[in-house]
Amino acid sequence: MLWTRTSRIKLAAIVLTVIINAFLLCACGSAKAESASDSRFAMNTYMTVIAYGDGAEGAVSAAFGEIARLEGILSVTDSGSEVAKINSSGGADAVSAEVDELLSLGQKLWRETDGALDITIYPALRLWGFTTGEYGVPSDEKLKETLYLTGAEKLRYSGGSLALPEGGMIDFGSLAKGYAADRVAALLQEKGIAHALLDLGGNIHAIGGKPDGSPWRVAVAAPGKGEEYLGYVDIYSGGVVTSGGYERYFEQAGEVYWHILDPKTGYPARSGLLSATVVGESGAECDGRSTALFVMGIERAIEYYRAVGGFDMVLVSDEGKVYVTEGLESTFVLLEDEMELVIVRRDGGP
Amino acid sequence: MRSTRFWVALVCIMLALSCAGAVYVYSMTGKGQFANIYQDGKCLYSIDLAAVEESYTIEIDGAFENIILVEKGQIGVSHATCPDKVCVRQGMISTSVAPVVCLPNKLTIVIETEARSGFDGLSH
Repeated sequence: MLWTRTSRIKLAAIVLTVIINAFLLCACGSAKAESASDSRFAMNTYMTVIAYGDGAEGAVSAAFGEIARLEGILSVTDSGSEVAKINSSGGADAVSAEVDELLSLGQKLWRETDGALDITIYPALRLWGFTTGEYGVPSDEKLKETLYLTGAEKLRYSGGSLALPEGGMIDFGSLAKGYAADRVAALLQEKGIAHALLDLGGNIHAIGGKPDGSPWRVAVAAPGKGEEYLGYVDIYSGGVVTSGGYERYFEQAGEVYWHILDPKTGYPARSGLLSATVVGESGAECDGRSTALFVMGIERAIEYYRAVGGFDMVLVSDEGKVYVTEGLESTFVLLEDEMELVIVRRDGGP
Repeated sequence: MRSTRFWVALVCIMLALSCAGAVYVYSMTGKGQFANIYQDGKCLYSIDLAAVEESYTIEIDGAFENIILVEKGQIGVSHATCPDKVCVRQGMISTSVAPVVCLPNKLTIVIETEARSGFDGLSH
């Protein structure tokens, strides 16, 4: 059968329309893998999990299930948790794998940081009201009494059995969110999720870069400046955790008292730092180290970095300088023009 | 010839509709700035910040009280009776990078549409 001119035009027009429509539809949904995101209150903070890939929705739901499970073990305020039971009974004959891991990490970081991170500081935090919201500056005497109960060296932990000093308490508040990030990251990967971003109360943890292959761009807060950012770092995986005194603090008689205490004095750590950010593979270590670095101050933090390594950091001094370790030299971008950028090298060079 | 004109017209209409649809879908992403105010997971208000002419405040009750300040392009908690005031210290937000959170009052203010800040997360 011969095609008439009209039918050829008709056919061409229809084919063209179908092609253009298909193109337009594809363009609308381009590069959009299955994705799911959810936000919830958990671990006394607000958390968001975003995942990309097949089964993303189920994986995000499982992530929050894991976070709730960990909270049930690690919460210091929930009287039914393992940690609360350990605190009320002065120890335990056997601890869970999670508590074991965190006790071991807490003790390791306590030794590495010369006591700047202390998982036994809870009685002092309580005295200041940081755990109850009833803030107040305690008397020197009361604080000294409380410091008799603190100090990770007083923990007796061997063969899975833990004994606390009388009146002593453990608290994984400086590690738990980072630890949860590690556990959730492992869970998501087990479920075949190759790309995800976790925001566990400001602790950022990345898995596998973005679905388009580019890195996640994580901003670092400018201490006390609301939505202004100090800078940003591009990462494919691991944690970016910041500690500072600019969010949780109270004022009394014109003086500011923040929630990160120097375990040696029991007073808020005043080390000359406004914030300390740690970038590394282990979320739990990033979490613990960011607190410790904030307590240590610039000189001790740099010494620690040079001695131990295995992580990178961004330290913001109260004198307008930003210290960034060499591993971040090519990925950290400073956005605050008035700050001076100083690159810290592992070998001590300029 | 009549029939040809009909087909040409039909194809043109289909193309025009497709293009209009695509333009609409594209324009929805990245534009507009909807701030949703949640309490305990329930959305109480949804505000188009781009359409705000004059600033106003919204009072949220609960275990504590939050006063939310709504301005053109930005939103934040201007006053709170909660003990820690972390929500007030977060200041005003204009992008979706990090929500304003008041833990004691279970309040969150989230900018839902991508405001194209270029950041995927905020470490704080």
